[in-house]
Amino acid sequence: MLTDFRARLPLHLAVYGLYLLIALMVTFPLVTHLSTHFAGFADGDVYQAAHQLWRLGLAVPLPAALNLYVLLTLALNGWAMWMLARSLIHAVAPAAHLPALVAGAVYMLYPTMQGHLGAGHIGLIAQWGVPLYTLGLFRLYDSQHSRPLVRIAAAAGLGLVVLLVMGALPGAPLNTPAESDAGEIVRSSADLLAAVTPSYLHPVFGQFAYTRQVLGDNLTEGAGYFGIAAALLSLIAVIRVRAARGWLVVAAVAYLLSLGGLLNVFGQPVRFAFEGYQVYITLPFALAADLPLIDLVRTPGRFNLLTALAAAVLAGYGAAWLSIRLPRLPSAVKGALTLALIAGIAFEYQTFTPFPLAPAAIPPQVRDLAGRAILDLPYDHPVTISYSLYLQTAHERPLIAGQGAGSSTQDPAKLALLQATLDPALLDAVGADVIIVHRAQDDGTLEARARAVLGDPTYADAQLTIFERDGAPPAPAFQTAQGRVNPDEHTAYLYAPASGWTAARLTLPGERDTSLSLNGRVIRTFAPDAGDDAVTLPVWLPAPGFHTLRLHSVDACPQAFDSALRCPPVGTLALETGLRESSAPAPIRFENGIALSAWIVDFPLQRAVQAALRWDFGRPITRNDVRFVHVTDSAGVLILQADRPIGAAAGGTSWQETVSLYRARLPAGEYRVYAGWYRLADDSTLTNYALMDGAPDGSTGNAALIAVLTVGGAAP
Amino acid sequence: MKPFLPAPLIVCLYCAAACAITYPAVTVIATDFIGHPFGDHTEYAAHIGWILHALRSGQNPFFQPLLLYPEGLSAAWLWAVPLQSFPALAVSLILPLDQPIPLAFNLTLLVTLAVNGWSLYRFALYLTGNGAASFTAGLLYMSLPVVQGHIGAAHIGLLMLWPVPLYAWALMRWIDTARRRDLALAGVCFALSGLGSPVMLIYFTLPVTLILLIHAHGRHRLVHALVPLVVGGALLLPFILPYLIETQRSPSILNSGDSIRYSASLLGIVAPSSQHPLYGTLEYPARVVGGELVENSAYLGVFTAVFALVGLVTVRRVRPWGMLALTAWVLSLGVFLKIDATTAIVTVGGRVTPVTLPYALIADLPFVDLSRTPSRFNFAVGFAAAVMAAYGLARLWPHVKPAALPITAVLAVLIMFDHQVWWDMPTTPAILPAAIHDLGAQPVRAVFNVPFAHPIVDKEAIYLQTAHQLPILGGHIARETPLDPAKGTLLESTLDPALLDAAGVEVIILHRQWDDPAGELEARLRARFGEPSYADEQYAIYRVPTYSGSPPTLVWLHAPILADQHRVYAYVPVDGAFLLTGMVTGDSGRGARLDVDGIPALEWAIPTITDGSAHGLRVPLTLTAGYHTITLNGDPRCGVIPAPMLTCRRIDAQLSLAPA
Repeated sequence: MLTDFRARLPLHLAVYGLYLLIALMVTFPLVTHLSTHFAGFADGDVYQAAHQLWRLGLAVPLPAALNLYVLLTLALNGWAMWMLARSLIHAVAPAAHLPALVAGAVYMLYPTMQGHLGAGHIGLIAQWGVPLYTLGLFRLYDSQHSRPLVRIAAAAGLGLVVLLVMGALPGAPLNTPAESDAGEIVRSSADLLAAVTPSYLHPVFGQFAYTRQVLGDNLTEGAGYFGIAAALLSLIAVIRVRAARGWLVVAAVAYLLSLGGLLNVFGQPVRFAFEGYQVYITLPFALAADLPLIDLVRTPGRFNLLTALAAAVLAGYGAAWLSIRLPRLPSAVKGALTLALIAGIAFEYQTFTPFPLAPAAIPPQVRDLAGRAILDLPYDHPVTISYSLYLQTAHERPLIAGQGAGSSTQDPAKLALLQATLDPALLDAVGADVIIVHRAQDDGTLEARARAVLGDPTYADAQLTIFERDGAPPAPAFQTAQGRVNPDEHTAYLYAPASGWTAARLTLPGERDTSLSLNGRVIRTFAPDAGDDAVTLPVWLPAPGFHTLRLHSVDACPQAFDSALRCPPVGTLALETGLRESSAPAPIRFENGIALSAWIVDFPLQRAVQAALRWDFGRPITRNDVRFVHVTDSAGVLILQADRPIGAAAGGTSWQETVSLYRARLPAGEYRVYAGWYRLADDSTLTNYALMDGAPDGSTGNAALIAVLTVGGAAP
Repeated sequence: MKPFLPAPLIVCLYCAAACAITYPAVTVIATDFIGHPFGDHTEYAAHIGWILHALRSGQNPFFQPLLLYPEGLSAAWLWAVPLQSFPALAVSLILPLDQPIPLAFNLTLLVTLAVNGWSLYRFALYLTGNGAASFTAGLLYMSLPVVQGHIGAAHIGLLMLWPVPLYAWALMRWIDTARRRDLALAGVCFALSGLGSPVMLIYFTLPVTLILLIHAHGRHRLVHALVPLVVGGALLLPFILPYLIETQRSPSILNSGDSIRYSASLLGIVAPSSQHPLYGTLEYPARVVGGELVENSAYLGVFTAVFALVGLVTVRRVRPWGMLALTAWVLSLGVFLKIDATTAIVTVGGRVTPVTLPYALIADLPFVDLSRTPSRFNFAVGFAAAVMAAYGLARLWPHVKPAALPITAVLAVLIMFDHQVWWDMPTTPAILPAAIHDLGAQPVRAVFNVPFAHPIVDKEAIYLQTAHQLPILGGHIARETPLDPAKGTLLESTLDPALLDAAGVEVIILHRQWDDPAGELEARLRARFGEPSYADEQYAIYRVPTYSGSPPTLVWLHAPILADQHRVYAYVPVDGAFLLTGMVTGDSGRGARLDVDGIPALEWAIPTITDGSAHGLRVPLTLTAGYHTITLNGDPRCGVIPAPMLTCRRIDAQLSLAPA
C-alpha cells in the first residue's frame, strides 16, 4: 500500500501544485504582498480572522500565515474535489484525471467560494472536507459490505456527534448567543438570478448593469454564478450521462434553499397583492429557518457552496463525456485543452478585479500602548470591532469591547455610556486607560468629544486617534444615556454608583401591550388603553453598576410593511438624573413565590402615603391575586387601603409600582403601613398569602410592616 | 370481470345510501329543499321555475325580464350549465303536483348521488375486475365529505360528478382499443363533466385527464388520447360560448373573489365534520374547517385513506392516481397555507407574509381565475383516493372472500358513518305563504326585497318571484345581484317616496330573518308605510302608497365603509355639474384616491396639518342623470392587516354633494 502511495504521490502533488498555481493567479496580486497585506476586504472579517490566528500563538508573521492558509486551502479544495470527481467519473470514463481537473477548478473557483474569500471568511472557504466526506460515503455505498446505507448513516451520525460535541464546548459557536442572530435572512439569501449573474467586479461582465442590480453590494452571501462553461458541461452531463442526473437534483435543491425564505429578484423580495394581502413569495427555507441548528446561522446563500459541489461534479461528468468523444487526440493536446478550459472557467468565475487586499501594517505607537484596558470607538461599528481585535495582536492589552462571534458581547449599557460621556471617572472605573477612535467609522463627533474631555491625542494618523487617560479622577456619579429608539422600543442606559431608586418618566400612547424591563427582566407591563398617558415610575436599582432600562412592545412590528399601515409607537422613556441611594434590604417573601425586594415609603405633608414597591414573582401571578397596601392606626384600625389585582404576570418577572393613599386629615398618632397579597377567587373566597421569611418586626402573619409613620399634633 | 350484484340493484343500494346520507330529507322530500338555508336551492329552484314558466308561455328561457327591473337579466349562464337545471326541470314536468319543483329538485339530487356511486363502480370494475371492491369504492366516492359539504348547499350542478369516472373509463378504453364508441363516450362524458359547472373541468376533469395521459405512452398514443378532448370540447362549445360572449360585456358571475376562504386547510384532509355525532366532540375539526363545511370539507376518511394506502403500496399501477391525489390536494390548499381555518402568517427576515403555495402560479391563469374555489380540487383528490381504495380493496378481497357480502355491508355502514358531514342533513321549507302568491293578483310595477345587499335575501327574492311572478328590483342568475349598490342603498336607506316611485317600487318585502338584529330597517318601514299588509316570522310585506308629488331631486348619502374607505351614493335627477366638498383627516402623506363609478377622478397625498384640523376637499364633478357611487379610498388600501400590532392608517372624512 505504501508503494502504491509513493507511486501516486507525484500525481497528487502535481494536481495540488496546479491548483495552488491557479489560486495564486486568481488572488493576484496577493502573492506579491504576502507579508504586508491580508487576502480580503478591510471591512470584512479578515482582521478578526488574523486575531484568531494570533491566539494560536504562531511563530510566522500573521499576514503571511493567513495568506498561506488561504492559498493552501483553496488548492486543497480543488484537490479534494478532483479526488471525488475522479472517483465518480471513473465509472463512466476510465481516463478520469483530466476531466476531474475541471471539476476541481469549478469547485475551488466557484463564485460563492470567492465571495467568502473576499470577506475574509477563512473558516468557510475550507470546504475540502465536503468532497472527501462525499467520496467516503460513496466508497461506503459501493463497498462489498452488507447494509451500506446503515454504514453511511453511522458515518454521518458519528460526524454529527463530533460536530455537536465540539460545537457545544465553551466558547464554541453553538454556545455563543451572538451567532444565533448573526446575518439577516433576506440579505443573506441568493437572488433568483444569481445563477446567471457574474460578479459586478469582473473585468468584462462587470459592465453589465444588471449584475449590480442582482447582487447589490453583497458578493459575499449573494454570489452564486453557475457559469456558462459549467452550465454547458452540466447540460452535456445531464443529457448524456445517466449517473450525473442525481447531481442535477442536488444542485437544484441546494440552489432553491440558497434563495432563502423569500424569493428575491433584482435584489428585492418579490411582492404582490392578492385578495387584500400583501404577499411575499415564500420558499421552502422559510419553513426550515426556525428549526434547531438551522436557526443558528441564517445565511441560506451559503447553500450555494453545495451547489458548487454539484456543479463541479456535473462539469466533471460533462468534461469526461467530451474527452471520450476525442479519443484520438494525443494526451498533450487533451491536457492543453483541459488547461484552456480551466483558464476559461477561471476567467469566467473571477469575482474580484483586482483581488482585494487589506493592509496589515500597524503603527508602532499602537504596539507600545500600555494601560489596564483599551476602549475602541465607535464600539458598535463592526469594522471597528474587527480592526480593534487586530490591533490587539500588536498592543496585547485587554479590550473593553471585543467580540465573540457576530457582535460584541460586552454589556451595551457600559459601552454606550462610556462612548456617550467619555467621563474620565467612568473610564477609570472600568479600567479604560486608552481610547482609540477609529476615524473612518467616526463622523468627527467622537473625536471632538474625546479631545474636549481627554485633551489632545497621544497619536493620530489617517486611521486612528489615540487618547491616553491619566490621573485618578473621583468616583463616577450617576450617569444616563439614551439607547436605541424605534417604534418598538425605547432604551436608556444608566450607571449607578450604588443601589437605590431612580425614576423613569414614561409616555404611553396606549395602543400596544408594553413592558418596561430592567437588565432584561420585565419590571412592569402596561396593557393597551390602560389610560396611563404619562407615568413617572420609581425604579429600584438593586446593585451598583451599569443598567439597561428598556420600554418595549411585547410584540414587535415587522421590519417591513405596507405604507397603508402603521406601527404605533411604543412610547417614550426618560430617566431622572438623580439617584436616591439605598442599600438593598433583605427581601420579604410571601407564599406563591412573591417577594417584596425593595420598598420606600414617603409621607409628604403628613397626608399622602406614597409607597414605591418592587415585587419579584417566582411563580405566575393570576388575575385573582390581589396586592394590598394597608395603613392602620395605633389601635390596628384600618385607616387607608389600596387593594389591586395587577393582572396576570409570568414567573420570573417583577412589578414596580407606586401606591398612593391620601386622607385630608389624619389624627395625631402613629400609623403603620403594611403590604401583602391575597387571592380572591371567582366565588369571592379570600385566601391570604402568608409571610414566609424576611418579615420586619411588627409584621402580621400575612402583611409585612414596611413603614411606621407619625403624625404629630393636628395635621396641617 | 364478474359483477358483484345486478346493476339495477346496485343503483337501488346507492339510492338508499343517498337517502341515508341526506336523512331526514327524505321525510320532507316534497315540502322542503335539501340543503342549508344559506344554500343555493332557492336560486336553482327559481331558475327552474322560470324556465318552466318560459317554456309554457313561449318566452325566451335564457332571458329573465322580471329580474333587475326594468332592464331584465340575461340567463345565458343557465344554458352553460344545463345539468344544473334541466334534469330537475324534466322531472318536474312529469310530476302531477301544484308545486312540483321542490320534489323534482330533491329527487334529482338523490338520484345524482346514486349515479355518482354507480359511475365510479363501473370504472373501478373496469380497473380491478372486483365487483365488491368496486361497489365499496363507489360508495366511498358518492359519500365523500367534499360531496356532502356541497349537498349542504344544494350545489346540484357541482354534484354532477358521474361523467368523470365514465369519461376516465371510456378514455382508457379508447387509448387501449381505439374503438369509436369509446371515443364517443369519452367525448360526451368530457363535455357532460363541464355542463353541471364548467369550473369542474379545471378542478376535476383536466387533472384526471393529465393523469390518464400518462397511461398513453409514446407520442402517437398521446395524440390519439387527446382526440376525445377535442370531441368533448367541440360538444361543450355550443353551451359555453353564449356565456363567454356575455361575460365579455359584464364581469364573471362565477368568481367568488375569495379564494383564500375557499381553500382547504392543511389539516382539512384529516379533519372530519364538526357536526359528526362522534368526531364532532373533538376540538380540532371545528378549528380546522371553521364555519365553512360546504366548500372546505376535505376529510378523506379513515377507510378511504387506509384502503388507498394499501392500493398505493401493493399495486404499481396505482401510483399515477397517487400522484393525482397529491397534486390535487396541494392545489386544493389554495394560494396561502392554512393550518387551521385561517391563513398562516410567517415572519421571514422581518417581513410578515402568508406562506405561498403552488396554486399561486395558476390562480390568475385564464379560466382558472373564473372561479376561485381551490378547495374544489378535493373532488379530484376524492376520486383518485376512491380509485386507489378500489385497488386496495381488490387486493385485500381474496383474504375475506368467504364473507364478502356481510363484510361489504358492514364496511358500507362504517364508511358512511365515517364520512357523514351533516347530522341531520339541513333542509329548508319550500312552501311559500299564500300572501306571496296573492301579490301577483294585483298589478305591481316592481317589488323591492330588503335588505337588498344580503345574498340570501336575493336568493329568496327570486324564489318568491316564482310565486308572485312580479318584476323585482334585484335578482341574479348566479352569486350576487348586479343591482347598482347606489340605487339599492339609497332606496333602502332613505325609503324616499319620490325615489321609490321613480324606481317603480310598489311593494317592499322585508326578509325579517336577515334584517339587522335591532330591527332598525323594519322600524323605518313601519314608520314610513304603516303596518305591513302581511307579516309572518320570515316576511313582512309593505305596500308603498301611490306617490303623486314632484320627481326626486338630488339625493345623496355618505357611508363610511372601512377604516380607509368612504362612499357617497347619489341619485342625480338630470345631467349637470356638482361639487363634492368635505373635510378629510388622515396620517400626513397618506395617499388617497377618489373614484366616480369606479373611474379614478382624483389622486392626492393628505397634506401635513400641524394643528390637528382636517384638510378641505372640493372636487367639481359632472354627473349624468341616474345613480352614482363616489368612493374615497386610501391609496394604497390597507387590505388585510398581517400582524396584530400593525394598524390601518385611517382616513376619516365628512363628505357632501351639492349642485355646483
